[in-house]
Amino acid sequence: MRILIDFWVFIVLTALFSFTIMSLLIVYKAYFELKTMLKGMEKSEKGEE
Amino acid sequence: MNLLWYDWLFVIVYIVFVFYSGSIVKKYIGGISDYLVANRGMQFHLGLLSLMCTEIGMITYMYFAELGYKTGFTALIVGIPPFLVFLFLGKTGFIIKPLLDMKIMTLPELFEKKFTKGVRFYAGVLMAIGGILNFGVFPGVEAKFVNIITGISEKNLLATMIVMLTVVLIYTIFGGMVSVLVTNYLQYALLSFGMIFITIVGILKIGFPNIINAVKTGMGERGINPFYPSAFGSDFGVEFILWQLLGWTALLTSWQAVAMRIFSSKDTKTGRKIFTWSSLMFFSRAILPIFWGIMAFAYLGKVDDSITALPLMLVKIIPKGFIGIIFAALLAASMSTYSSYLLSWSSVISEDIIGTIVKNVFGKDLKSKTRILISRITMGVIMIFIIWWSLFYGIGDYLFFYLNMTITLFVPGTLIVVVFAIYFKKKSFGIFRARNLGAYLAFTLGAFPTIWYFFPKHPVVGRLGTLAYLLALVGMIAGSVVANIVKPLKADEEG
Repeated sequence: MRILIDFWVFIVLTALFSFTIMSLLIVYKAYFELKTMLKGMEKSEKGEE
Repeated sequence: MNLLWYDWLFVIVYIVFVFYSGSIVKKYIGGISDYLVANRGMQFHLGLLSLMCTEIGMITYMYFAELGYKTGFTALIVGIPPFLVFLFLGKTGFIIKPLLDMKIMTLPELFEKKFTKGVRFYAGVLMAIGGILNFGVFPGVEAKFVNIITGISEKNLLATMIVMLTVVLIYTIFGGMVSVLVTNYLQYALLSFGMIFITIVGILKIGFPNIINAVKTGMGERGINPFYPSAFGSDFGVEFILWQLLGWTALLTSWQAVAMRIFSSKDTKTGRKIFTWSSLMFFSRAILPIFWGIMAFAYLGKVDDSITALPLMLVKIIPKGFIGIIFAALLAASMSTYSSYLLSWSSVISEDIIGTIVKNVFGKDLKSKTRILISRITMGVIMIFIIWWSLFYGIGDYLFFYLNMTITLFVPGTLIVVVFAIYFKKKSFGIFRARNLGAYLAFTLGAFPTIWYFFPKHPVVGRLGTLAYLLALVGMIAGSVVANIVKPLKADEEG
């Protein structure tokens, strides 16, 4: 029981830590990607008919 | 009212901001591929962010928290299968690489390419039914959540649902995938903050020792050991894990909302990278809300309706002045999920069902603009249906199991058919070469366990779910063998 509880606590803390780090990274980097994508679409020809 | 004037102000400003940003990107929408897959221009971080936004909604928090509330630490096992499967698929490229290389918009397109229009149509119908039944409980559960957080009376459930869905519908209809990507950005920033904030505040307020004690005394070993009382037959035992591993493998390729994100990737490498890194994100997506449910159990003790434990706890532990931000974050999570699901299921109906019928009747494809129009009308119809379903269908089981079983209607068949379409179409497979009859049987047999689930007496869901994959595999092999014996293909023939 004790070892299982320690394992679950470890799982929760790992999830919290990795989610925090990755979210910060993603929000920062996705900003530039979004800008590039919209710029690219503005230049490209629209419509496919 | 739990929300003060400045909380409401924050929520309103946020919604207006989302609308505004959605409307300014409208000019970027050209044809159907812009509308549905953002013209395949999505890069890694944006793709990952968008995928997470789609797959994290208020409903996600509710069903995971309910599991945690009812089954304690045991439920945390749910976070492990997606982690393993995402990592495996991303690293190996199994299934996803060939799919990305083919540049398709929906999976049924693959069925038409590798089998026939009939298979595409049949898959589309099952996907639409399973997907919409799954989606059907969202508004009811989420409106309940919103009403508890805001303090609006339970009597106004219908009104809450209508307001929420109308807001989502308007901005989804006018934007499509490009608008979803832009608004997803704002929503992810807010929802990730909300998730981290709730977890930290919860741990600080309640404390790990109290949480552990509550589970130990309130649930005993059942709340700590997933294999209690036995590895087979328990709700989270071996069969459950097997079902989840298969389910996640299938979902990542056949769940339209997820598949669309992957198909929107810039290239195959980006798609695979999104999968690999999603492993950690999907792990946290399950673990954190389940843990909130466990915290709610420790903090509140017994509540009448387990699904309401999370919002009841949030109202009590979130400090004054933050509830508006947290509410906007939760609303943000939901809006992106709704818009993506509406877009996904309407695209299956408009492209795979209506598109196939029109092509068969008139002998030509619909124009891009007509397809967008049909997709929008379909969204309106889906919205009306899910409000009705939410009002009249009562979930007797864990919400998590209901959601998983409804998608099991088509997911096992899809996985087996996709694998056979990609890897077993060569002549060298002889009588085992994938054939149309096999595809039809895989979908049909794979759907049976879900129908069984809706009957009052059924085996544990882990067993039902695993059975669905087994039946789909048997159907695929049996159908193909029979077709290859009765009507063998000529050397250069496809089918």
